[in-house]
Amino acid sequence: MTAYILGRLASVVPVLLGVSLLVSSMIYFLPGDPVQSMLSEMSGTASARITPEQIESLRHELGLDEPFLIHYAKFVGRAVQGDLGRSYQSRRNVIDAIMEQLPATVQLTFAGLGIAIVVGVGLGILAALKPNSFSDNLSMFFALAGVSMPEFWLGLLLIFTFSFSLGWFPATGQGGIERLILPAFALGIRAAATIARLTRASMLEILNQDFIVTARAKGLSNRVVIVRHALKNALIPVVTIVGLQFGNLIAGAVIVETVFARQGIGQLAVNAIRSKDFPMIQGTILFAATAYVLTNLLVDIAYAWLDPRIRYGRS
Amino acid sequence: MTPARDPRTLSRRGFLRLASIGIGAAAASSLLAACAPAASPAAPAAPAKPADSKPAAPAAGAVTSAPAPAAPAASGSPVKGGTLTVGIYQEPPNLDPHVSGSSTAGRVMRHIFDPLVYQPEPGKFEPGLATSWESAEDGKSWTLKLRQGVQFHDGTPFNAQAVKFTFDRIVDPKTKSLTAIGLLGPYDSTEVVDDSTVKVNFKRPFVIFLNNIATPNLSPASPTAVAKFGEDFGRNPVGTGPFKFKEWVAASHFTVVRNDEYNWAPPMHGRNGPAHLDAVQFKFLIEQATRTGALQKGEVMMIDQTPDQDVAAIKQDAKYRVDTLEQSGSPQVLPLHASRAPTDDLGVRQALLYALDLKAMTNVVFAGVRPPSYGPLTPNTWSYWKGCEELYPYSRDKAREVLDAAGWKMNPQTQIREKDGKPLSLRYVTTDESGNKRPAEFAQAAWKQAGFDINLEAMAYDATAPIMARGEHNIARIGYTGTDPEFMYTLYHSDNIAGSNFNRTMTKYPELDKTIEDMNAEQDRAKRQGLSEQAQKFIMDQALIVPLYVIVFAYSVSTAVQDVKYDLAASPHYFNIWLKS
Repeated sequence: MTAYILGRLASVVPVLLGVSLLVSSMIYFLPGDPVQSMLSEMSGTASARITPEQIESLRHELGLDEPFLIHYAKFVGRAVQGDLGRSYQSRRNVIDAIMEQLPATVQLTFAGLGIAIVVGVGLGILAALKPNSFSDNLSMFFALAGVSMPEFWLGLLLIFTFSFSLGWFPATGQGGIERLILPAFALGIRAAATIARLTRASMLEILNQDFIVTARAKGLSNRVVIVRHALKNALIPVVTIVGLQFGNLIAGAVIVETVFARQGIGQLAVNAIRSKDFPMIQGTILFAATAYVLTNLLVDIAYAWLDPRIRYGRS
Repeated sequence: MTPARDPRTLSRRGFLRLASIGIGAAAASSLLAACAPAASPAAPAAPAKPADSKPAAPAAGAVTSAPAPAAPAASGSPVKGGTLTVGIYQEPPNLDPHVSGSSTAGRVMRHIFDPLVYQPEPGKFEPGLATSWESAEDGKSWTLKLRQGVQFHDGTPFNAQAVKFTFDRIVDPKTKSLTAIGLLGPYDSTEVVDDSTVKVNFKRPFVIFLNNIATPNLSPASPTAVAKFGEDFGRNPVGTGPFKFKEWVAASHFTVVRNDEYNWAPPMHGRNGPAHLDAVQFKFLIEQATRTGALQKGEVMMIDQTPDQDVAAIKQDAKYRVDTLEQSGSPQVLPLHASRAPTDDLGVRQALLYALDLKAMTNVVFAGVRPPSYGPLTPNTWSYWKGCEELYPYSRDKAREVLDAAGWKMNPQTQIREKDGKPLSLRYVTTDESGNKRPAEFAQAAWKQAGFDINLEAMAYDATAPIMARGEHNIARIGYTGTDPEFMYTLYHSDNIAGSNFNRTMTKYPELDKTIEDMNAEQDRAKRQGLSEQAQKFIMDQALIVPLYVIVFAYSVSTAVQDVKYDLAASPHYFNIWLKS
């Protein structure tokens, strides 16, 4: 197990290096002069009066007056020490700004994940118990609708229905469970749909296996057969997909936070992109990518732990 | 691997068992709960805003559904207190007026920092922190008399030292000023004549100094607070304005509260003393639909940047009114590359102007919210030349006539005009924002009718910039905010073809260069106005641009919000606003 974990850990390093390479090179390979466009964007009305000194100072601050490889090496060197630079506009430390927004995003992501698992697994089981029944069709219709709806649209739909029309929930901002429910649903439904489909397929497969027949033949109650025998085995692929969905949830949070005007890294990133705040854009992307990679790492490890065939099969 | 088992560590099998039971139970209960979703959320409905809970509003709403100024007088006398909530479309990076370049920040900083002078209408100035001003004979220095008895929010006295500190800070490279440094122009130094008098020196005559100190960006900041907060001053701004900065919750909102010491309001407000409101809270509502919805839900009382398509619906609702403010400066215009074929041909450029029905365009594309424009300046910019409105009346026949006369003959097979075997093909480069792309599509179709072949490329701004800088376009785009026609230097002087590339006509006209230079050096206002009009006329006679529309800032406001007036930068004056309960 230890060897397996170490191997997986080692494979994360090149991925993170690749991400940081992309992130730090984007400013080099963008069309046009990013420094000029940053300054034009930031200085608004007086943009034509940008002085050469301003351009030079920003170029220096961003490290663009150096060859790319040196720039990249310094970027990585600072990043591993937790320094992602300073936003040129807000003068804030990028890491501080991200850390400040992290709790809100974590809260939303986990709430979304909770809804995804509960709704997804629940519907999946429901559908698998009576294949091709009305409840199965309804569940799978929901799953199809869920994967087809982008978070953006679903979020607006939820706001319009439950907030503006019915008035059950506040539409925007954070604080209190009532402000978390709609965004968490908007975020979680898509993942729930995927999980439901997979749970159903996995359950159906297990339910047709001999040991289930044996269990039933032994006279075990339906509940025991489903929960203790079938679900336990059906869950293994679900764990993987949950992990993968977690990464998607981080991405979806960006959208959902914007739609619901919630605090979070997503708002930070969208604002940074709109105002061409490169250090902040780089910081948020790198952060999200790292979170994604680390989550997948955890899933891999959990998977190996849950299903011994994985780790033994490797060696 | 795990022969001996510690009962406290969770085993693989144990986890699976726990997980399956837990999830199974949770899933079951959630399915049950889903049947009765009405139960829990009943509570949050309680804190409804007075804005929409009062059915009394409609009566007043009927009066106020007309544009802004009509409302206030009829609505009774101001009430003190209350918090105004405003939904804004952006979170500004920073509230340091000397650093920030954001116009959204400007609309907030305006109320935390007092400017030295106010500009209530284009070209008219009245005292702010400076009570009087005088330009030297040579225009190279300005003497300002400062108001006495004013203090910053932190108690620091406002005086000549603070003004000198402010200007010197702006030009200090360490400040990394974005906008303010440009607004200070050829700044040289500030002399403290006495405690309430400063003399500001410039390297060259600087005629638009008053115009520029009327912006929030050149407002004096507390030297004590700047020293205390350093780079974080932008998140802890301290000025002399009617509102004090209270808190900034990143990615959520910031709040300003009334400055009870405030006793130096400009004459245009018609009263003195502190503001009526206890506080103003600015919420960052980036997404358009959310912003409109938050207003309708009563979560905010006022929003900026109302989407064009929502304006009509909100106006219909008696609980709100929509204040549309035209942005001064340059309208959105399409500069034509006047030295690249085929737009090097005056006839071609003029035909583009004749062939586009701007009224139809603004009605179709912007639901009539943004008015059409006809020249290089918007009508509310000082020295606007009205003559441009009659120059190129919409006429498809006239467009055909001009093209025929210029030798561009219609090829009946392609339906594209040709001259010397070359088709009338134009490259139109614009951004993919809807404010640029949609009018472009309309224009493309209109010009096709006249025999143009328009290759429209709508892409991200960063992708358009290098194309325009290299001059590989026939039709480009630009817009510009300003209150003085001085900005024509930026958009039409040959100095700005290379470098900033804000002059996208890409062509040097010595006569136009000289007119603009003279205008920007002229101290006599009447003469200056004449020069400005002359420049506008030249630009339109040469058909260097196709003006499209005036950028509009549309605020939607609950009728509970009273006495809303706006400054030239489309910022509401929160000082006089009060809330009707």
